[in-house]
Amino acid sequence: MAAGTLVFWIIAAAVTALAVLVMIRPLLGGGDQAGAEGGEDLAFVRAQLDELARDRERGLINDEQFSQAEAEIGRRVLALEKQDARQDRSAEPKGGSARWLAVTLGVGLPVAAVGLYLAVGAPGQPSQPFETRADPAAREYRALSSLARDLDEQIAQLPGDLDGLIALAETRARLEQYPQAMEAYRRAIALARDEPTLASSLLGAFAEAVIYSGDGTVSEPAKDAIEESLRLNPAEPRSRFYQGQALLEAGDSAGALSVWHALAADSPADAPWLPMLRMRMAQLGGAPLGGDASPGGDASPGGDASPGGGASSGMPVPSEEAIADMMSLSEEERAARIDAMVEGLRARLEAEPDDVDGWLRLANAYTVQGRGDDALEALGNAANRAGMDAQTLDAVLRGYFAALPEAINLSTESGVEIPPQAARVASQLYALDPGNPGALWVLAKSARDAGETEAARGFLSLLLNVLPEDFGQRGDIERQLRELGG
Amino acid sequence: MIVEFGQYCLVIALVVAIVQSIVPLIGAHRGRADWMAVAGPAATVQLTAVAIAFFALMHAYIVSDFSVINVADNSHSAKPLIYRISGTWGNHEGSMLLWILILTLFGALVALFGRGLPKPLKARVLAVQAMIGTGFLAFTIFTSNPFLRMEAPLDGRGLNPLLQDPGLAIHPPFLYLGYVGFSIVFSFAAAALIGGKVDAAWGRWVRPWTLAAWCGLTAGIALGSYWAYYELGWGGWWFWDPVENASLMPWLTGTALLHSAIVVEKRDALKSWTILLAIVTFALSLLGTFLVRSGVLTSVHAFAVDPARGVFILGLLCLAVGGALALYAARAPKLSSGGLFAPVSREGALVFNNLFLASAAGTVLVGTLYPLILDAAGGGRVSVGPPFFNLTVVPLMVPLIAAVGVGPMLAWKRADLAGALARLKWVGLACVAGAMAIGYWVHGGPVLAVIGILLGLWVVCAAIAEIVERIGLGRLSPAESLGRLRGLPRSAIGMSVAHIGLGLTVLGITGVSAWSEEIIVRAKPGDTLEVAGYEITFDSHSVINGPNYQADQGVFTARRNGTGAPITLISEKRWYPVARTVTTEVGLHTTPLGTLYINLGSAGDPQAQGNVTPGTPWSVTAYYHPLIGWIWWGSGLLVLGGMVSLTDRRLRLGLTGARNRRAAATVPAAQTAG
Repeated sequence: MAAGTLVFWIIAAAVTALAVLVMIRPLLGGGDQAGAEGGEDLAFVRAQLDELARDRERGLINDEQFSQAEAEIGRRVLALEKQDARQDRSAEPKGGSARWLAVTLGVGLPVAAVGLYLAVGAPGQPSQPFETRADPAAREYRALSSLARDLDEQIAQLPGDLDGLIALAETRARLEQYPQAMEAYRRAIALARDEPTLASSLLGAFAEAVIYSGDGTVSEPAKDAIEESLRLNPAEPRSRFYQGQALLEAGDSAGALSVWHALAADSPADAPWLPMLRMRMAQLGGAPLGGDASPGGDASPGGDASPGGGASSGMPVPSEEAIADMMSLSEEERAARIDAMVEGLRARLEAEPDDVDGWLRLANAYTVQGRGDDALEALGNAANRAGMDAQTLDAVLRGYFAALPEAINLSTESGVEIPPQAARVASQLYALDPGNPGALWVLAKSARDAGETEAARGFLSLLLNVLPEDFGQRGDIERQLRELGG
Repeated sequence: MIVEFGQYCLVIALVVAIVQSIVPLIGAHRGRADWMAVAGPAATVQLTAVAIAFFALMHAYIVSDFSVINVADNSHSAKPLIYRISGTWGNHEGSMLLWILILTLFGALVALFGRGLPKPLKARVLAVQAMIGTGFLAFTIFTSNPFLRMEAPLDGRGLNPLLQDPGLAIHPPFLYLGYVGFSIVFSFAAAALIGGKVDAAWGRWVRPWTLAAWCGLTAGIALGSYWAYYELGWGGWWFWDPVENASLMPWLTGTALLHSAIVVEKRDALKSWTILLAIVTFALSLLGTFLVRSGVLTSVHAFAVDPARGVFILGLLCLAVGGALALYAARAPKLSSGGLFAPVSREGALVFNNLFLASAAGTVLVGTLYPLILDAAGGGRVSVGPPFFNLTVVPLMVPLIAAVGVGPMLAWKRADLAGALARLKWVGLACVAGAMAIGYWVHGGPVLAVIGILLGLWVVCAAIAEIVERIGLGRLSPAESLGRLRGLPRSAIGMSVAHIGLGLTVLGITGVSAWSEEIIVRAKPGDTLEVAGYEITFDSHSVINGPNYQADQGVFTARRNGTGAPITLISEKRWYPVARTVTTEVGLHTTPLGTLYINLGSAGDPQAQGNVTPGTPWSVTAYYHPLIGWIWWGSGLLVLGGMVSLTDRRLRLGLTGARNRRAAATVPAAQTAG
C-alpha cells in the first residue's frame, strides 16, 4: 500500500510537471510573439469578396446584387484597415513580466493542486475492484454470486429442479438479494406442494425473505406465508419464531413470549437459532439490555414500555419501534448497538451489584455474543448473590448451561470442566430441590471430573429416576452410568 | 490508485481553469501575445485532465470499485457491462463530470481549430470558457464530488432499470453536447463584448459552434423523445414536462441564434440582438441544468431540504447571466449598427423567424416556471400541462412554419414578396390540394389536421422548389443544373435539408395528433383485438429471465385487415427485483405511414409478478400512430442538415485562417480557389 502511494505521488508529480511546462511554454518562448492583432479580420472580409465573385460566376447572384454587396464589403475593409493602424500604434511593448508569471505558475499551480487534493481526496486509499478484492467477506460474496449465477443457469435449463431452486433461494438470501430469493422460494414452494414439511419450511424461509426485503417487520404477505407454513407443519421452527415476532409487533408480548418458550422447549439443544431466541426472550422477559431501566425495574420515564405492557416480570420491554429500529439496522450497526446496551447494563450492575436478575441478563447477553469468560464472571456474580432461593438458583444454573453448552455434552472427552461456582450452585439447589435434573447432572459431572466415581454414579441414578421415560438423552446417561460402573 | 489519480486530475483541471480564466484576459487587455498564448495550452491541459478524471470514474464503474461512494450508490456487480459504462453519467455527480468534459472539449476545440481567430478574441473566448469551467469544476469538487471514498461495501446499491436502456444511455451525452456547446457561443459573445467589437467576421466565427451545439441538442431532444415513446409505454412522444421543456427552450433560442448569426455574417446587422440571443441561449441551458439538478422540479420544498447544490448552481447562473447581461448593458449601445434592410427581405424574414422563436421560448419558460414560482410563493401546486402549451406554442409555430417556405426565396436587403410568392404559387396550390386530399382521404379530417398537413407539405415543397430554382432545373440543361448544384455552398444545401426535415416533423406531429387510434382491452392469450384495421392476436404469454430482471413477455401477431402478412410484436413487462421497479418494453412495428404500438400491461393483481395463474386476463394497450416515425426521421434530417452546413468550407475555421491570409494577397483575383 505504501508502495502504491509512492507510485501515485510520482505519477502525480510527473503529470503536474507536464501540465505546468505545457502551460508556461508560451511565456518562455522569447519576444517573437509580440504584436498581437493579426490580419484575421481583414482576411475574413477579403475572403467574403472572393466568395461573392465566385457566387456571381456560378450564377447564384446577379450583377446588381454583386455590386451592391461588393460596395458594402469594401466599406468594411476600409474601416478595418483604419482600425488596424490604430491598434498597431497602441500595442504595448513586451516586458519581463512573462518570466515572473512563468515562475508564479510553476510554483503556484503544483502547490494549489496538491493542497486542494489533500483537502478533498483520500491519498493512499487503494482502488478496490470487485473481482480482485481479497478480504474474506468479499471473496465469499463473489463465490456466492457466481454460485447464484450458475444456479440461475442450471434452473433455466431445468425449471423443475427443486433442489437447485432451494439452493438458489438460500444463496440469494445470503447475498441479501431478498426479492430474488423470494422469487426462487416461490417457485420452490410451488414444486414442493406434495411434501408438507419441506413446503412448510420453505414458506418459513420465504416469510423471512419477505420480512428482510421490507422494513424488517412481519408484513401481511409474510404473515400469510407463516400461517400457511404452520398449517402444513405446526412444528416449523422458523415460522414459529416469526409468529411470535408478529404477535410482539401487534403488542401481544405475553403471547410472543409463550410462543417462543414453547419453541425453545421443543428445540434440540444444539439448534442454531437457540442463542438468538434466548436473547429475544431475555429482552422480552426482562428489561431491555440498555442501561436506562431504573432501579427496581420500573418502566423508564422515557416511555419505552411496550404498548401491550404485561411482560411476565413487569419489566419494560422494548417498544415495537425499538424492535423495528433494531431490525432495520445493518449487521454491524446492530452488533454495535447491542454492545452499547450490554456495556450500559454492566455499568449499572457495577453500581448496583445486588440485582441478581440483572447479572443473569448480562450473562445471557454475553453468552449470545460468544463472550464465554465474561458470561461466567457475570454468572459468578449472580451465584454469589442468589441466596437460598430455588428459583433463582435454577435460573443461575440454566445460565451456566447456556454459557457452557459443552458441559451439557455427555461424552467424557468434552474436557470442559464444570466451574467450581456452578458446582456450588448445583449443590445448593440440590439441597433445596433434590429432584432438580440440572443440579443432579452438574453434580454428577463434577463428581466424575474429581474422580469420585461412586458419587457420580449415585447422582446419575437419581437423575434417571427424575427424568421422564421419553427423555431423549436417557440412553446416553445410561451408557455413561455403565461406563462408570465398569 | 486510479480513482485517486482521477480525483487529482480533477483538482488540476480546476487550478488550470482558474489560471486560464485570468492570465489570457489580462494578456488581451494589455496586448501581450505571450500571456494570451497561455490560453490554448491551458485549454488542452484542462481537457486532458478532465478526460483522465472522467475515464478514471468510468474505470471504477467498469471494475465495480465500490470504495467509491458514487459507484456503490449507483452500480451493482450484476449490471451488464454497457450499463456499468453508461452508469458513469447516469447519476448526478457523474453527469456533472460529463458536462465538464464536454465544456472543456469545446474549449480545447477552439484552442486547436481556432487558428484563424484574432488572438485577443481567442484569448478572451477561452478565458470566459475557463470561467464557466471554474464554476462547474468547483461545484463538482465541493458539492458533488464523484470520487469520494469509503470502506467498500460488498456490493453496490444501484440498478436503476430505467437507465438500462440504450436510448437513455446515449441521449444525455448528445443533450449535453447541445447544452454545453452553447457555452462556447456564450463565451464568444462575452469575449466580443469585452473586446467591444462585433462584426461580420464574428458572426462567421461563432456560426460553426452554434451549429455544432444545435445539432447535438436536436439529436439529444429527438433521442430523448423517442426513448420516452418506446420506454415509458404511454404511447406519447412529448409530454411538455419540465425536463423536456428545459431542453426545448435553449433549442428554440439556439435555432433563432443560428439564423440571426447569418444576418451578422452577411450583413453586419442584428449584432446586438445576436449577442443577446447567445447569452440567453446559454442562460436557458444553465437554467435547464439548474431545474434538473437542484431537485426544484420534484418539489420546491425538496430543494430547500438540501439546498447546497441548488444554491451553488443558482449562484453560477446568476453570476454568468448577470455578469454577461451587465457587460451587454454596458457595451451593446456602443456596437455600431451595420447594414440597413427593408422589412421585406431575407433579413426581415430572419427577424420574423427570431421573433416567433423567441416568443415561443418565452412562452415555454413561463409555462415551466410559473408552477414553481407559485409553489415557492405558497400558492399551492398547480400543473401547467399540454393544453397550455398546445394553445400557446402551436399558434406561434404556425406563422413561423408558413414563413419558412418563403424566407429562403427572399433576397438580401430588399426583396419582392409578391414575386417570391408568385414563384411558389404552384407549390402552394399543390400543397393545398394535397393537404385537403390527405385530410379527407384519411378521415374526413379535422380542419387543424388539414392545416398541419398543409404547413408540412408547404415547407418540404418550398425547400425543394428553392433548390430547383437555384440550380435552374428545367430551365437549364441537366449538366448545367448539376454543375450549379455542385457549386452551391454546403450551407445552402444544409439549410434545405434541414427545412425538409422540419416539414417532415410537422407532418409527423400532425398525423399522430389528429389520427391516432387507441384501444385498451383485457385479453388472454388467444384473444384478438383490433385497432386501425390491424387484427392483433395475443399469441402467448411467458415468463423469461433477463440478466438482472424477470419479464412477462407477451407475443402478438398483427395482420393488416386480418389477412396481410403476419407481423410479430413483442412487449415485455420487466421486473427488476433489486431495484424493485417495473419497466415496460413496448412492441413496435413501423411502416412509412405509421407505427403499431403494443404494450402489455398488468395481469389481475400487479403484485403477483411472475405468479399469474393461467387464464388471467392481461390489460393490453394497442395504438396506431400515423406518421409518428416522421417526427424522428425529420429530426434526423434537421441534424443532417446542420452537419452538412457545418462542413461548409467557409466554416472550417482552421483552414480559413491559413488560406485566407494567402488569398488576401491576391484579392480579388483569386476566384478559382476552391
